[in-house]
Formats: sequence, structure tokens, C-alpha cells
Amino acid sequence: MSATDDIDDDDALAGEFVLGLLGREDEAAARARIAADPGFAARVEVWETRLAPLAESVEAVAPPDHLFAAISQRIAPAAGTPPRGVWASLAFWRMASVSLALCLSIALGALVYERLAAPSGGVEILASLAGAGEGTLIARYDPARAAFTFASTLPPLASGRDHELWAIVEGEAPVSLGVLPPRGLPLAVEARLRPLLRPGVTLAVTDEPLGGSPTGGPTGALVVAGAALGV
Amino acid sequence: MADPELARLLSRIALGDRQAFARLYELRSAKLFGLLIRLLKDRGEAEDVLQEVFVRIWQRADRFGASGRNAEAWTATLARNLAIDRLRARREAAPLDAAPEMADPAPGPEALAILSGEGTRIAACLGELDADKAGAVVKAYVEGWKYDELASHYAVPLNTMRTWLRRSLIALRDCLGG
Repeated sequence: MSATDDIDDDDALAGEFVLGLLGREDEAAARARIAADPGFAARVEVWETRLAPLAESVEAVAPPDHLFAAISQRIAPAAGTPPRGVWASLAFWRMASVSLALCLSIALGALVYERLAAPSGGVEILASLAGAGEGTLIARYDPARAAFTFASTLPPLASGRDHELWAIVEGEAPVSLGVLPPRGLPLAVEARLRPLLRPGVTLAVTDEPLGGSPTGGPTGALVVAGAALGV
Repeated sequence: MADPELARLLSRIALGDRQAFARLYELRSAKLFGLLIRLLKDRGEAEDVLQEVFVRIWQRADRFGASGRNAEAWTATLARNLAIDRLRARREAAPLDAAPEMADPAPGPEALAILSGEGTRIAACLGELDADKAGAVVKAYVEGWKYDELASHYAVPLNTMRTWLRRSLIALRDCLGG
């Protein structure tokens, strides 16, 4: 009997988690279990699918017309402009992997050049992320597009794993900026996270389950990290 | 349900097809926006989250194929999880101001009657529960209510509400067949 009860308990817990009913501590514990226990993670997924038809019972409401344009802009690979200058050059990024310091100075110069050529408001930041292992990541945040672009020489992760990018303000918990997109694509940054992206913030990449950490905080190994510079 | 079409669109979106993305938006945005408004009870915030939902659909469409889920469930779960995160942040920011606006009625069993496909099964299974117990599950899902809000709405102690809900979930699971 007790085995069945355990299964019921776990299933009820997974269902409560999906409904968003757990208190703060139970919820954190459930997230940690999802990360550590594939069986429990599978129960959560099954509940998400079981309950999802309830979403279809709500009345549809047409979103305002401007919304699709705003979304299209956020997913635009180059915000409607052709790739600009050195940022699009493969040779440039190959060189970047050879020497971070050299790369950074060239990139800074390139950005100054770009800003002269096509000035844009806001604070751009640039960070060169390195770690104990092979490969580096260079991240550039463009406030005009509210998105990061990357040049990565990070080796691919094991299948079923994702690189996740974090912003760390000194003395505070890491905040997820999202999973690194496939090579060449930008990563849009949610409005509420944009104020974190200032010179001095540390950017870090960890090795996480597919789709990113299930707990809201890093769960996997640190891959690379580096401080952001204002441009 | 246009499930096969949504699934096909998602595979095309995974390959970077913007037309497919526009079509998915056309098919799915109003339902997801309706859900976000119900959960967040704030149109502006629902617009913000809807943007985020579609940006993530664009970024993560390649994961859909591997998930083995149906496309409606995948998109609804994405939207609902983002909204639940917002609700949690809101509660933590203002724990004393947690009382929900109850003016907006949750869909009763009659709204569930419009469900089709997979939805007819869950509607039938909810119909086997007491009306209040089924209602509590639906309100938690669609309104994002927590135990304290459910307990005060149904005028039962919090522990009773939790017991109800856990039993309802197990009954639902058994009815839906695992």
C-alpha cells in the first residue's frame, strides 16, 4: 500500500506544483527535485499536458494590433538592417578566439566606429566571458534592440543540456537572462531584466538542463564568466 | 482543434520561418491573451507577457518536436508558467496585498462544455467531482488562485482545501487514465 501512497503523494505534489499552489518553500523544494529527479520532472510534464485543455476554456481576447509588430522586432535577426561591419565577420570572431584581450580592444574600437557611423541611444555593454575550460563567449547587449548578440567558441554541451546566461549584480543572486540561442541568433531581454544590464554587472554561463535551470537559479557547472564593460 | 496545423507551424518556426510564426500568432494569440488576462487581471501586464511568450516560441520551437506534447498544451503551458512567475513575483513584492480581485467569475462547468478534443476528457472527469471541487481546480488553473484564496472563496479551512485539491487531482489522474 505504501508504495501506491508514495506515488499518489508525488503525483498530487506535481499537480499542485503545476497549478502554482505550493508555498514558497515547498515550491523551491519541488523545483530542486525537478532538476534532480527525472521521474518527478516527468510527472510535472504529464500534469502540464493533462491540465492544459483548461486553458482552452477561457474566452479569447484579440491582442492590440501593435503587439505583433513589437514581437517581430524582438525576433528580428538584424532589426531590419543588414549586418553591420566587423560584427558580421567570421574572420573577426575567429581572431577573437585567438586572443581575448586583442579581441576586446578591436571590438571596442569597432563599436566606437559603429556608434560614429550609426549612433543609437542607451547603454551598450560588452563582456568577454572565459572559464577554466576551452572556449570563450563574447556578449554584446544592444539597448536599441533590447537584445544580446554573441560570438561563441564554446564547445557544444552534451545532448539534453543548454547554456544559460546569468546576470550577477554584486552581492545578489544570479538572475537568468535566458538560454543561449542557436549560433547567430540574438537573445531578447525582458523589460524587467534590462536595468540589470549596466557596466560592472557580471555575466556568467552555466551548463543547465534543456530549456534552462528549472529552479530559477544556476544548478549546473559554471562554464564561463566575465564582467561587462560600458561601451 | 487545429492541432496538426499548430504542430506543423512549430516545426517550420524551428527552421526560422517567419510566415509560419505570423500564422501561429494569428491562430493562437487571442486564446493565450485571454488566458493571460484571466491570470494576471491586468491588460498591460498580459501584453508584456504575451510578447515574451511569442519570443520564447520563436526561440524554443525546436524543443517542441522533442517534447512529444501537443502544440496547444505546449503553448498554453509556456504562457501560463510565465504568468504564474509574474503572480509569484507580485505576491512576494506585496504579500499583504494578496487578496485577488474576485469580480471576474471563473468559467463554470458550462464553459468547460465548449472544450473539444482533449478538453472533452478533462471536462467529463471534472464533471465526476463535486462542483466545488472541480471549480477549485479550474480556478487554480485559470485564475492562478492560491490555497488561501480558494479556501476563503469556498469558505473552508485551508487544510481542508488542500486535502480536497490533492484528492481531486488524484481522482482526475485516475479518470484521465494516467
